[in-house]
Amino acid sequence: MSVSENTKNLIVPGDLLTCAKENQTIDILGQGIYLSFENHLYNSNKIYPTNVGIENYTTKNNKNIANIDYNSKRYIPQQGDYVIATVTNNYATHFVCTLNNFSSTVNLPYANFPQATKKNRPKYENGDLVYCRVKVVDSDLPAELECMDSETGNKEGFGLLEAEKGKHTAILNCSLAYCRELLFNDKGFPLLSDMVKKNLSFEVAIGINGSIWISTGSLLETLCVYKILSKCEKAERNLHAQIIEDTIKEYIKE
Amino acid sequence: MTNLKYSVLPNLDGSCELSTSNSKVITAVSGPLEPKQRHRLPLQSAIEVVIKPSFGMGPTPREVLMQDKLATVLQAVIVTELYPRKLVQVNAQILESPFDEFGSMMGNSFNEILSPMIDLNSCFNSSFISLCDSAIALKSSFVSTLLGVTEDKLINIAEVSDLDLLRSFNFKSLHHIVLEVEENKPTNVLLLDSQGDFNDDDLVNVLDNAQKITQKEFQNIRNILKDKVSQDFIWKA
Repeated sequence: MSVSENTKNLIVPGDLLTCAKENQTIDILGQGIYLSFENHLYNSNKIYPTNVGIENYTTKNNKNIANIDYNSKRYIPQQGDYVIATVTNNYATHFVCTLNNFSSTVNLPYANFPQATKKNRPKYENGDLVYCRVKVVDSDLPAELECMDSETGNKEGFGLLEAEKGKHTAILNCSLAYCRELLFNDKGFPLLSDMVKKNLSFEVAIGINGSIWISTGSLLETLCVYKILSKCEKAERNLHAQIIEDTIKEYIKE
Repeated sequence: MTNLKYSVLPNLDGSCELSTSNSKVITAVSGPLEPKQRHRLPLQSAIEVVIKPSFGMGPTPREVLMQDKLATVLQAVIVTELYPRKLVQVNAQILESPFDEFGSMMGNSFNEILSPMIDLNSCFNSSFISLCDSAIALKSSFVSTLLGVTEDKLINIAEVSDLDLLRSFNFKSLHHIVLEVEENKPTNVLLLDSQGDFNDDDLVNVLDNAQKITQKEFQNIRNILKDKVSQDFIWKA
């Protein structure tokens, strides 16, 4: 399904959702849809679309899910999301991190690291990038991050994003929908696999908060990957192969 | 003819540049942000509106009045409960106003009244696109219209292209109307700000016409939003 076909069901705030029109039962409301709370028992309350985007209905485990697909730049923490956080401060029990410039800060407690003890505290400095997951979101508290899988206690690839010796790294800021697609939909959107197929070797960490961290063996390769990812965000799908080829030619094979 | 350009400022969450035949503004929306302590509301988000004039230092009292009007409407439209203790910041910079030229206040006593109304009308429409661009939750859409009543005619001021023509009109009254749009139809009056001499019939006539203009203008805005959504997902297509 291409998006251009789908823009027929464009939803603008104030519109009536198809599910409301056809009186469908929706079990889970996703992003972009808001249930008003005029009535505390939640019966006969209105559901509004709150964002401009495309209606999307799916059924998972016999539950109807409705959401609106939209793109944005500012990330709002949601439980279970993989994010790249920047350490901005540290206290006796936790680091203070930011996920977005000028957004509310989030906390990364020392206890949420693998093999955490009272004496064994991670030594991160301000400005370090950490790949972690949002553990708890409470509307009255700052969101809490974790650097491990809290069920198994394993590291699971989380932790400090640092350049190994001889490596070059960069961080790229993209729109949120693009990051989501790159991270979760490699089969339907094989941009990263296509880059690897062209003999580009790189390490990548994608945060849902709109940051992509890249690490490669040389400065030119880093620039090349950076350029491809930022150019493809603004180009149609069928041009991506050409962009990859051109950029590799420009930066690596003169 | 209203000309709208979305996402003109890449580093901000949402932005829009609006130009009509006689005015030009650029608006930007950032949010939800971490507010200062004095802006922090326990159960809803604070809305901060800053409007900068086309020349000189600002916001002057002229712009402060415009800010207050814009803020009251935004308060009704933004789903503030979704972002408790956060701040939504709306900035507007007026780029061109039809009364910018030095000495233009002379002659027509309506200029002083008309010029902020024209600017505010543009700020309203532009800030709606900016809010949509920034993905801040909105309850409904809104469209703003500015109508002038002369002895025998009703004039949509945003469509008067010639400045001399605009000055030549002898307006009896001016009406700035912001209508809430639900399901492509105007449903509710969010702001009605009138200046001058008018009676009931004039106002009913103005509201009738404003509904028609709103409906037409909303189709234009819808097309722009459709274009925006397909541009947002251009890498997917």
